[in-house]
Amino acid sequence: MRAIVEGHLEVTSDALEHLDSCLLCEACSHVCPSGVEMERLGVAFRETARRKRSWAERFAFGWLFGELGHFRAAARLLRLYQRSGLQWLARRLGLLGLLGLSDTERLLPDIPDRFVEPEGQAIGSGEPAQVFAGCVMSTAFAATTEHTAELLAAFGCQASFPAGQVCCGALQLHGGDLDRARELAHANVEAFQGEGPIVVNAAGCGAMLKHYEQLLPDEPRAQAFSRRVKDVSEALAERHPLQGPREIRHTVTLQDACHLLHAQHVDKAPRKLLKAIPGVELREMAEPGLCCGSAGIYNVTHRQESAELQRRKCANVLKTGAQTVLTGNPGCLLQLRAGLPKGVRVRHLVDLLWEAYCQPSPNEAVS
Amino acid sequence: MTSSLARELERIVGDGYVHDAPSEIIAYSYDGTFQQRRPDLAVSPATTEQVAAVVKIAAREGCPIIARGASSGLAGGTIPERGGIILNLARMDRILEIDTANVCAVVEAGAITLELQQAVEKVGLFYPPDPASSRQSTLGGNVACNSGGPRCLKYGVTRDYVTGLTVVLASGEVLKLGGKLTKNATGPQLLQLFIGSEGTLGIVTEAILKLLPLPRARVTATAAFPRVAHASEAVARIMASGILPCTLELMDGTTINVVEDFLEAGLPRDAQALLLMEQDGADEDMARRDVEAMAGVCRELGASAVQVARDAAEREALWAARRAVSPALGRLRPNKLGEDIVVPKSQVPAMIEDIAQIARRYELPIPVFGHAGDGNLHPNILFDLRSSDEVHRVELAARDIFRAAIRLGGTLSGEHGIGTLKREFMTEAQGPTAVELGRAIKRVFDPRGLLNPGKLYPTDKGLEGFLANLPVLAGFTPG
Repeated sequence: MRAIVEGHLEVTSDALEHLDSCLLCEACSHVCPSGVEMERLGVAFRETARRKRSWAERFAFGWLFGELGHFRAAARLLRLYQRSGLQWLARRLGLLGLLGLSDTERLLPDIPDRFVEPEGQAIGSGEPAQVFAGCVMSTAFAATTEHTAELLAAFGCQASFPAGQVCCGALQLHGGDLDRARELAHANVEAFQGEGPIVVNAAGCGAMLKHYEQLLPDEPRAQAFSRRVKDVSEALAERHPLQGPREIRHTVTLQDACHLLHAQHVDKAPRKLLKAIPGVELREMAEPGLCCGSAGIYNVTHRQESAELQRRKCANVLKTGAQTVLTGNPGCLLQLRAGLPKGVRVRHLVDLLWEAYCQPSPNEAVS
Repeated sequence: MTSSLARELERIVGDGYVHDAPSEIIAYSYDGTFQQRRPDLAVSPATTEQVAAVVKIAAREGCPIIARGASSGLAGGTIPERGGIILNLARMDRILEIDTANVCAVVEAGAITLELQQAVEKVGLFYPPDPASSRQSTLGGNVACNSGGPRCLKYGVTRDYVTGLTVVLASGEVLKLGGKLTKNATGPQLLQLFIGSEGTLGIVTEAILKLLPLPRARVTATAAFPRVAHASEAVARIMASGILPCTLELMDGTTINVVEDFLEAGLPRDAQALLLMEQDGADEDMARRDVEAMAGVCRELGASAVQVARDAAEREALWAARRAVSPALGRLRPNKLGEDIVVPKSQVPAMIEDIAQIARRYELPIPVFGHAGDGNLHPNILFDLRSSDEVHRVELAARDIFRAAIRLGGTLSGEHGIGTLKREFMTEAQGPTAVELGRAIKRVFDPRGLLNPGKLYPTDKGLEGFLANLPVLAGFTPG
């Protein structure tokens, strides 16, 4: 990168390919004693060396992720595809294989009936906590996002979904579309006014929101915004639940999302929360800091490299013998689900916590 | 360099293991210093036989061949200064055998130092040499540079653990030396010549390394001092007291703070010097007694705080901090000239005082850390390569540091090697006769001068402007 910037290496397609192969997983920044921030450099470089975008990229960054309404519409179409029998037919006929889409299609989440549409709705009472709903988390993982708000309420907060919030802009930023990322960031700063934490349940979005102060140097409110941003595990770990958790006898392993562990340096909070649940046994996996290969849209743009990482990660999960693997990022959830056998459950950390704190135990339900 | 040569090499090492595209060979152009020069080709062989075949082709073409492992070296030893073929040994990364009956390990040159250490510790054995870069550094590179590390105070350096080598000679012939042997008096040991020769006499592809039983107990402590002079005096007194600690490391105030910026390990930011002391042994009480005795010396010399690590996690935090020192200095200035002088143990206080004076004389920041217990110090001159005025002052400061070390009975390098960085000082350090003998030995092994040419011995450019004469791409300054 530096060789290109300083004119010692020509900008050729193979040089760009090497730089595009970077996951921007921040594993290197996390351990860099010299303090090099790879993600910032990578993004700035991609912005400068941006090639002409394909129609698919322009569509994805501009239309699809550019506005939540569009995203929800697309998610509904996807749901139609999955429920109407079209998916069954397409898989059955090998159509996806013909189109070279079978691996990609396998990554698609099952779309639920109901989405979270942020309109200022709130639950619970106490300290205000504003929930960032995101695009994928408010649609494909709408239940997890609802659980996030309910958990915050169970930890003594008034949890709300501020209206006017949009996609965090991380995908645009990683793709080098800085202008679009800034527009989205401005809209979010506008939407999340007030006090208390801004709670995020997607590691990638959380890292992005924490970077708004760098992305918007001229926006005086961006700094305060970024400092309010907390991953859901951070927000819960620094509060006390109104009632203790119920026992859940279960073995779990935790896949540290790169954008939690490396980009936000969050690793203790999720472990503290799991430890507090009686009956939960956490089995740590080998190579915990290794990316699962999801990395934003990396698993679509670099299928082979991504698949290699996925194999390694899934092998490490299986070696723990845990019944469930937990993580804090939608990309990781989809990537692990696509790579693991049916016997291993892949869940968001929030969903297990919700079960412990918000779901009545089977006994109580009976009585 | 033609692409037909690349294709010929590819037939030996396999598809995807020969690189000649500019965007790829740039990855093989630098090391842990600020130097950089691109090779013509980079080749990654998988076996000793492939290395031999590649070397034969290089010999036929009269093409320089530079072996490298992780290239984390700090002396420019793997910079392809005159172009040629980079022989990347990272692919030969297997630990071939851990032989518990003969208490040794057989490794390929590209095996990672830390991975060997972890593997042998699992069976209760111990490989002591521990360069700070052990996570990346390769054992072949350690042999080539005769690497050391903090534990070498008690346990010795890489040289003390090599009992066998497989070497590919400049002709492409494969030579096997030594074996799984504790003793060997079969004439002068040719094997020893290759250790520290930085790939100039032959290419090490496999090594047999002696192991030790793993010490059961380990006790670590730190002592913070309000003045560097007090800490260096403590080092000299501890070493004269009859204790042989496993480790006695010094960090000065600048290095303490820069590493705290990175790790927040809880080091005392207001101290001017920190000693990291460790003793290991068969039982905890013995190790603890030695650490207590060292702590006593520190208190007598005015240490403001002495702390013993309570558990393995606290000890590991201290070691993580120590290992991060060198790269963390990159936070302060764009470039650094990391020195590696050694002086007799009793001269450590005098050397540290000299370094402080030199820093003042040339108005340069020169933080000091290192293995104070064995007299091996790493004064790091921080600078910006883009400022020619600074570069000139760095040259003078480096020269004065070397000369001060030599005057105190010391030498240029304890564990990094000579490479390009210190070659112009070799005659002053060793004397003209030793340098001429070294060159004569090189001619015996490599008459055409193809193995890592230009390294170790002075060039005809001389001392004047030695830094500006190093291979550096203008404006491009990694490291």
